[in-house]
Amino acid sequence: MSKSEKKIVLKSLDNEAFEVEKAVALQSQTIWVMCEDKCVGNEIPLENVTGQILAKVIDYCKKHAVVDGDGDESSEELKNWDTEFTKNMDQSTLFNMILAANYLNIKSLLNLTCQAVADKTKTIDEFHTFLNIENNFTPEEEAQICQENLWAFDD
Amino acid sequence: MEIGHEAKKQKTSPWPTRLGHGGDIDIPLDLKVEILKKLPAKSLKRFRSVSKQWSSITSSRRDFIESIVTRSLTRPPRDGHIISHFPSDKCFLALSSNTCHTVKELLLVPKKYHQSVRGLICCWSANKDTYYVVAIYNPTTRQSFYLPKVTAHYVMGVCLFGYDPIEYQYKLVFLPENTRQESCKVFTLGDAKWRTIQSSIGLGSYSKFRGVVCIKGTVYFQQEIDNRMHELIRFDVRSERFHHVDAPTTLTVTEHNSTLVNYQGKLGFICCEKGVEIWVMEKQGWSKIFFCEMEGFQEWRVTGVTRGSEIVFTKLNGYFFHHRLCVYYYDPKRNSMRCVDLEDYYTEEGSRNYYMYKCRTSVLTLLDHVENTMCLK
Repeated sequence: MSKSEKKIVLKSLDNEAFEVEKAVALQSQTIWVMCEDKCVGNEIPLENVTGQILAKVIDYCKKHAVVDGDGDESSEELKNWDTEFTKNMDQSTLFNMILAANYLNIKSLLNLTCQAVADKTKTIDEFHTFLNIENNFTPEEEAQICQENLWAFDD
Repeated sequence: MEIGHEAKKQKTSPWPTRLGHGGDIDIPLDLKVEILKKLPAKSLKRFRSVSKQWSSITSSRRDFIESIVTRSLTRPPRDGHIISHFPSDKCFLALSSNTCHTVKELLLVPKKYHQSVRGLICCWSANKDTYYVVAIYNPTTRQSFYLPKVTAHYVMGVCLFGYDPIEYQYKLVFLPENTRQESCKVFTLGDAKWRTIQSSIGLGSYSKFRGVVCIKGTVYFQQEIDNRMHELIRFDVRSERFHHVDAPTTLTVTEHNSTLVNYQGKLGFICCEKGVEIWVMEKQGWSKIFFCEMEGFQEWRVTGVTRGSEIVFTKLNGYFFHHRLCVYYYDPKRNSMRCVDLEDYYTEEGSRNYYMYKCRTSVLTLLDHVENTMCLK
């Protein structure tokens, strides 16, 4: 196999091009299907992901790829890396990562980023604003539910 | 080209839509549910008040509940211990894992008999002076649900609790005691009343302390034929039919001290007499997979086998004030014993000293307790 066949170019929404090992990119089921279908050349346009986010996704995939038997990272080390990876991401980055992981269909990254959002959501107010959900309970209903669940509020 | 690109984007997906307030990104409901699935059970309960939609997703959406139950099974196992005092009416639930104890909580449910399926505890009381009461308790949500009266007049009996993983239904079966009727009562969780079903075999005379297990949609239990013999019966939760199951005499002869268990997802039983025997029902029949000579089981009762194949023992006739409140875990592979000490659960009340000579405490251990956010109604 020539060197160029092992590489693939991913192009972001804002036209940023990333050349990556095929084994790295193929962790995305979406890219895998595109490659299988041969409907694309060596360059894959990803019109839903910005360059800034795609760079992070590629970092993740590189870390998690098993390239030429080079997968000797211990699972503990990988777990720590994952924690560090999401630790300092702000809310909008995390959400964009979730959307990207979902669009690119990378299950482990979707799990990781959803877990990171869940870990950062502690209060009901955070939950409302974080997930942009409108409270449609009447004040009476809400009071009743809170009363029923008082135990769940003592930490 | 550029305009076409934009138009397509709007049409196909709710992709990064910037909202007016705070620059929040709105993500599709499915992904919000994925985030929800990662929250601890306590937060889920607390976040019920977020919106009607959230409340209904966490308490009744099947894939959601399924993911919470499955998630528990990938975590270190936790066991529930129901501690009840006689003559007090109170009973407590304590959860323990290999590494730590967690909360103790007061259970407001009938305290007498218990069986647990997928994180839901079925409790019933058949005291002679009270009406026959059946309730389901969900420790994850701390919700209890009392079933309607089984019969118009008082009848002694026992309850079996099972889950059908195909139709996702929980069912309870009421077997009247000391009769050989060819019918019994069934209650499907979510329905309003008990139904009567016919069976092709005589039912009744159920033996309480020989274990009831529900494995993959089948409830296995034993009933007495006469003073000397038991028979092993299976109840298919989905079809609601009863069948006899062949079993070795080590199980069915009453004088043997044998208990049905779920052994690594298979039906098994444990007989403790001159040693520990473990039997498992395979496709080709029963086989004895373990035997070890040991003594001193007279006072102990097997309550089950953990995911890690440990056999769990509690005191057969309860704990008196001079007994330390311990549940023992025996690992046949390593031939080692560990103990879960539940003594601390009394410090708050000081009740064990208070009852002193009068009080007897019983412990029922429910193994591999899982979280289940289902709403009971």
